Amino acid sequence: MRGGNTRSTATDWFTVLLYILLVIVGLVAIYSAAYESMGDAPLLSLETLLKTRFGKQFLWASISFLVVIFIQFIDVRIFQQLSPVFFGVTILLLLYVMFFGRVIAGAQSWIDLGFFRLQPSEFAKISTALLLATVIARRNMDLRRWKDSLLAGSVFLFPMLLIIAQGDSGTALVYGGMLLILYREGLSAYVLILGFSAATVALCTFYFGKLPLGLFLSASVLISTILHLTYKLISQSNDKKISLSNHFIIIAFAAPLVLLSIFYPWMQTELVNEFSPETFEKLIILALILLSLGILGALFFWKKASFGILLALWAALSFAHIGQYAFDNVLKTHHRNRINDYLGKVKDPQGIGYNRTQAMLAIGSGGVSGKGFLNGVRIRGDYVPEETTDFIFCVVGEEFGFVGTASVILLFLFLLLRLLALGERSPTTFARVYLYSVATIIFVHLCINVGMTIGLVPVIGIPLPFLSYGGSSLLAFSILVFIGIKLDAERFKTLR
Amino acid sequence: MAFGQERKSLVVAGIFIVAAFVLIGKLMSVQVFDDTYSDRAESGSYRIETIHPSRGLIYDRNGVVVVKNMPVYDIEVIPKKVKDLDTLLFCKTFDINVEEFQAKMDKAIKESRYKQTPFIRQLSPEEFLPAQEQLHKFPGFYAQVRTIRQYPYSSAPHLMGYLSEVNRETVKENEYYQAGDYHGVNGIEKTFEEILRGKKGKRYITVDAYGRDKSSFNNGSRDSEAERGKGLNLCIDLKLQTYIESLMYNKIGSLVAIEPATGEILALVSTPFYDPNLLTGSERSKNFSELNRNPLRPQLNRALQARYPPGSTLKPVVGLIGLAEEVINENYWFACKGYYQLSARRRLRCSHSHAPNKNIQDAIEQSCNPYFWTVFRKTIENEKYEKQSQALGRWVEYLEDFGMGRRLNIGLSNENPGNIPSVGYYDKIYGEGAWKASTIISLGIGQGEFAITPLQMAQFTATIANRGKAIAPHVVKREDRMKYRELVDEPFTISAHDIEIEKRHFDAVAKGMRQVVTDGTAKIAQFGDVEVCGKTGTAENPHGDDHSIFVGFAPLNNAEIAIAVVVENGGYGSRYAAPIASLAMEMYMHREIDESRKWLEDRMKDANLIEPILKAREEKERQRLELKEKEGE
Repeated sequence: MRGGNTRSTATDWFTVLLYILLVIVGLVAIYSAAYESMGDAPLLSLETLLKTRFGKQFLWASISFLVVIFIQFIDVRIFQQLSPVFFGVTILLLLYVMFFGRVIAGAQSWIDLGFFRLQPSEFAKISTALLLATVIARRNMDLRRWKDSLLAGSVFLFPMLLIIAQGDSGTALVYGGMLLILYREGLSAYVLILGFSAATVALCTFYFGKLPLGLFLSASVLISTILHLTYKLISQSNDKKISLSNHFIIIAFAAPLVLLSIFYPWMQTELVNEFSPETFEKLIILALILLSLGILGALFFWKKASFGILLALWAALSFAHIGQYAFDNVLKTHHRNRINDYLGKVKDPQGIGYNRTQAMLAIGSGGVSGKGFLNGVRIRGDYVPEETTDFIFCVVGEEFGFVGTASVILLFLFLLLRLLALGERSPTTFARVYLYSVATIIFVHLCINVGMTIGLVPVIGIPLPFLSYGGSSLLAFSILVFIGIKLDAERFKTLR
Repeated sequence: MAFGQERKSLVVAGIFIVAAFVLIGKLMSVQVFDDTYSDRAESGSYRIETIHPSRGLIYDRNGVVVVKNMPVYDIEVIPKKVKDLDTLLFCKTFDINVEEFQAKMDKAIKESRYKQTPFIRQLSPEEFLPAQEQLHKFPGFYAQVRTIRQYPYSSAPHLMGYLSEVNRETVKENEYYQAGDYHGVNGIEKTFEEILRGKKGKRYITVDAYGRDKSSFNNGSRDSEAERGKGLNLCIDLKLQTYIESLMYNKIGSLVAIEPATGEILALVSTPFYDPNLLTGSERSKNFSELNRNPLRPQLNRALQARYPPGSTLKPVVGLIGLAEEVINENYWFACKGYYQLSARRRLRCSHSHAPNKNIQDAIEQSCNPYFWTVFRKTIENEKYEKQSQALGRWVEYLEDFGMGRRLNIGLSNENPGNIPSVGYYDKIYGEGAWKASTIISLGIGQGEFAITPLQMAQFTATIANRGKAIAPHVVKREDRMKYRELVDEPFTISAHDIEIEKRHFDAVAKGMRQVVTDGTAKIAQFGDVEVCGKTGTAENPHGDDHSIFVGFAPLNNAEIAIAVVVENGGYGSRYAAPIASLAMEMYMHREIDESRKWLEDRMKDANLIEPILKAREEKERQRLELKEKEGE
């Protein structure tokens, strides 16, 4: 027996409340989306429970409720000790679905259990979070060391690759968010910036094509070399360290050159022919992002290594090629179509862009206060596809308007910040890393899912945590959160 | 700038907060500030029904409707909106089986889940009307009225062309078309597609949450009516056209009749032909492939696409050029010894013996080969030109003015330009300047490498009838032609308004052609007291019997009709081509055939030149197979 602790655990009821609210919002939205198929059966009759989406989701919410209560009685040490086992099992399941899984919506990620289709990738998130926490919590780990960072990173890189192989690139992105945890635990900010830059460069590559982007990056390399030499010249002539404002002056000189180098290749592409205000707008935005990345990069690298910028730009250049390769060869046709739709390269609101267009129309039609519960014409008129799963947010948008959507986002934000706070107040690295993992997983889901329904990111099929219809998803997120709550509740017990 | 470990949590929290507010900001813009989404979203709860206009009718020169429309019904589907479908009832209602249903549904889904695509095509009113009452039981299925073409006279398929369903590429390239639409791909239907198709209308229908039609949207303020296609008046004389079709039944060949004064094409017949009604309606694709398999190629428009050496029918033109180039005069005569001394060692034999000629009229009447060889040789060896190649070049220019060797652009898209051998052609074969008039002497009687279409034969005949005034031939009446000028290719023109040959030369040659009918090879062509003129010809055919050719016009002065006929494997021009041409001219000018010539009409109608060809083909095939078998042994 350990400690003979009689003190009741300190469950964080605020988190629980946020969780319950989000699940209720989800049930309401699914009820509304599935309303027409409900028939005349009473709301909580057996028929409703077993046949309709609302009923099934309600059942899953109940099951989740039982499971999370059960979790509160588990000895938390099990999570840490058995995390490699959990991880191994989920990896095996992922491998299993890779070869024998059911293909739904272009992704081979389901195991058919008859009454229920299990999606191992949902549970892989939990075991990955647990293993990541376990690995980082090892006594001799220091993520400021590259080697240790790499070791920790490989924990989520492995399932990430497996899930990409299943054709579910969306879920794979979730693991990418775990870089944030490594950053929190000591990884240099450069990696974070590099990751963000890589994503930006990839998108730019898809947008501009490899050649013009290559030209642009080459031009950037040239410019930054000149800048670097100028800097050296100045610093040699003047013994004093160059102040921050001087950097800005140099960059201000460089900015027009950088912009020019973007526009020159752009003018040579076929984009000129399809010139439209939206193209122009997107172009400006991308240019600004690249520019600010350049500035940010400059600020960080200037002092550090003399070849920092050059290295980063060359890395970006090669990444542009890798990105294009991945775009052409790794991504599936529907992924490419969605990215092209997002970038405005294809205009096909009835075909490729149908989902996004209809989703935005549904949300947009909600206005400030929405059309009211069960009054969502577009949802019920079946204009929006997947209205109970990936596009559930459209229901909130159409029926409850901006008030509804903003409230949901804020609920999520509170939950995320609360989870970070729980992590920060935790006495153990294990609990902290785990809670951070939970937060980042939910965060990426939120950004991608909501972002795609309002045209901020390409359409990527991943569920909105707690809201989207789907047993695996709801159960997995419930377990994910409540392990965190349990770890937090035990914070006074741990005497290590 | 790097943060300390303890402050990194703030960075992460900061990222979360910024991202959340980016989402909220975008939501605010989409939901609160951006009207476009709400506007479009509101108006999105309607269904757009396309109203198909009926296609423009096509009339002949006398206002007879040649092509009209018949309503048919398509059942279309929006796969996404199909719900709780009683498949069996559906199949029973529309008389299809479940496999067919599944195949059609798969195809529709492949096309688009959200777009209305054709499901069952072209139900006749009899088939559709009983099913119409059941249609509301099948959500996601809609009826669509279209019209298909109908040809009450089953005539002139080549001229009218046909409609065909648009393919994916067309839908992509041309925003007017949607899947399931039809467009003209041949003949008049193709050339005048843009005016015949009319303008589609749209009806906005509000739908309820279940996708059921409720009422017209916004009281129909955004609806637009369909505009029916504009009618088109052809130059064709339908009565003449169908009469000729009956004469040329069971023969391979073609006939082109032109009104010389206007260039209006009165008849354009190509046989064997087919009933244009075969290529409308639901049996279309079956019939289409059957026609394509037919070895006699009924789909080929021989009047525009088949090329024949004009043979003796070219002699009037050869004579005209000789006169124009002043290498002979009207009274040039030539003692035909029954052969032509080409060179010291080579003699060409005249095809027949005849009385000595006194002038060019006689020569045309007698169709004397040595005479025209001589004329041609004189033309090419003309001392006016430094080189013979220049003389030949000039000779070819004359022919081009007569409309040979070039497209005349009568308003149909598939004309063959024919072939007049050029100077370059001979330079290539014999070497530059290494050929002489004697090398290419067969051109003088319209043979050798010479090949022109029946349309071009009719055009030069019309030009002779006009005494040199070259008028572009057309299938569409002048008013319509002027209105829709941009749809038709630039019509045939010559540099000068008239061909540079004096009228008196034309008079002489025309008189010669009159003599052909009064005293020469085409006596059969005479009818009534009309001064019929003409020239028979025979095109050598290495694969079988020679082709029977006749060109002619009537009357001698102020001709009302010029005509060219080719009957493949018909032998001499006087055997089939001349009688058919004369009957056609008689029908056009007198609107009936005189009792005294009914026997000729019957003989032409009854003659079957196709059967022997098919038999010969079969025989050949049989022999080939036998040979193969033997080899196999």
